Amino acid sequence: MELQRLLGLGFVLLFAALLAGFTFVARRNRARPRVLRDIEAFRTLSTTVGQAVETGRRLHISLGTSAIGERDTATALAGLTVLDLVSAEAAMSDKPPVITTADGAAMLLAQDALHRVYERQNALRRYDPTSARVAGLSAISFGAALTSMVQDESVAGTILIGSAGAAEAILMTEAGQRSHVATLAGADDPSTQALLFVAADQPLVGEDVYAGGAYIGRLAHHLGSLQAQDVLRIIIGLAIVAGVVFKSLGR
Amino acid sequence: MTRRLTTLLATIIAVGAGLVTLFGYFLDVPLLGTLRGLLVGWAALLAGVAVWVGAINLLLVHSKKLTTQAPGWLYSIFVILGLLGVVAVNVLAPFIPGVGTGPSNAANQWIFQSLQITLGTALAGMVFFFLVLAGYRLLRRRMSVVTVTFVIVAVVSLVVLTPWPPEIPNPVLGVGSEGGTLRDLLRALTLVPALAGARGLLLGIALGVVATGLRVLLALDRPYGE
Repeated sequence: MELQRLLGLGFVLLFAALLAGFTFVARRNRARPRVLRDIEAFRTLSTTVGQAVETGRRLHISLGTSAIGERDTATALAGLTVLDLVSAEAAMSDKPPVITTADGAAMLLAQDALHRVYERQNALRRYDPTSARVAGLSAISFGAALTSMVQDESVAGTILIGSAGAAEAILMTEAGQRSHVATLAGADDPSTQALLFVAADQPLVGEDVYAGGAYIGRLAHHLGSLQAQDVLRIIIGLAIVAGVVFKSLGR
Repeated sequence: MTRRLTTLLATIIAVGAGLVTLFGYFLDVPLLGTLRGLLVGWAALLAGVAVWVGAINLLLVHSKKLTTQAPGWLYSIFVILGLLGVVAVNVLAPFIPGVGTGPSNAANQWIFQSLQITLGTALAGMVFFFLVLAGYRLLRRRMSVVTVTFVIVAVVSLVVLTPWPPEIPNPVLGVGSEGGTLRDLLRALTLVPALAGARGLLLGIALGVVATGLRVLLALDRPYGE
């Protein structure tokens, strides 16, 4: 157990060192941005946001049922990063973006992020605190609330980046399909990701859910983070292969 | 100036609390362990407050919808009545004989079993139909090798995971020590790659989660303010 903990700490420290190193390099090489693997969902995102602005309708950004302080905190933070980047453009629409969550703390962070966006644009008088809202406090009530939101709030596009169970994910995407509203969706659970692959127009698979900052904002520390993840994925892959070989040889 | 100081203070608190919690988990140092327990306790307390904040927000949003008669305001009546009703029941429960007190009082149990579970199950039951419809739409919308493979695998999985009808032959293929059947072979073909793929996805998700956490710990991402 002690060895496992030390290995865990070593892994985290190595990850942190790689992240800091690659971020430093990415900041220095700002003139030569890295070429990223194509993710269709992020490529078409600006079109969806543009349509929302041009048609004077809203963009719906959902953090799902992710809660701050729970095991899905990181997913909520990934959603907040995308919210921060996307709402800067979406806030130019006549109707402000609507943000939904199932957690009070995540709602407060979303309100704060939206407030900062309007403040940066010198448009604080257009800021409406109820634009970031708790749609339902339990997973199923959250999913039920989202079924009518697309029509009621005149939504032009939906982005889901957060935790979501099968029921709420499919209810939300189905509501989007019925209203012919484009849906970009990614969740942190593989079985929900499989559902979203079928139901969403633009699904995010695997760790793509956490790559919004690098793809949308080209943020140096997010680009560095992607590189660190790639290096560690190779190391873990090699460790798994080595483990299989040693186990097969009976050692 | 004040704002910068506030941001700096928030960053120091966030990074400090994060590092103490992280090292308190990995290292067997009593002081770190105690501090970690204290911080986690505070976080749990704040999570409780967050539920109240969420409930108040829900009430405010739906009250606004109701007063402005925004689209869907009719549903808001039910949301507000439901929320206030559950609060009222819990406030009055200790004064009604036989109902009991606390979260597991009889009134709460009735509401949970008769309303929430029933409605939740009904809603979850519709998921199957939505999924079938979504699978059909997928082939129309994004016809590609990947989507066709996905649908074929989904259909094969449904066939091998549901009870095998006796009318359909299931010959013994003589594979494995006990002689596997056709269904066993199909099940293995479906489940082994599915499991491998799911583990690959989980590995990527885990790396994404750790990276997101580390960015906050290193103060590169500051969701609590700029």
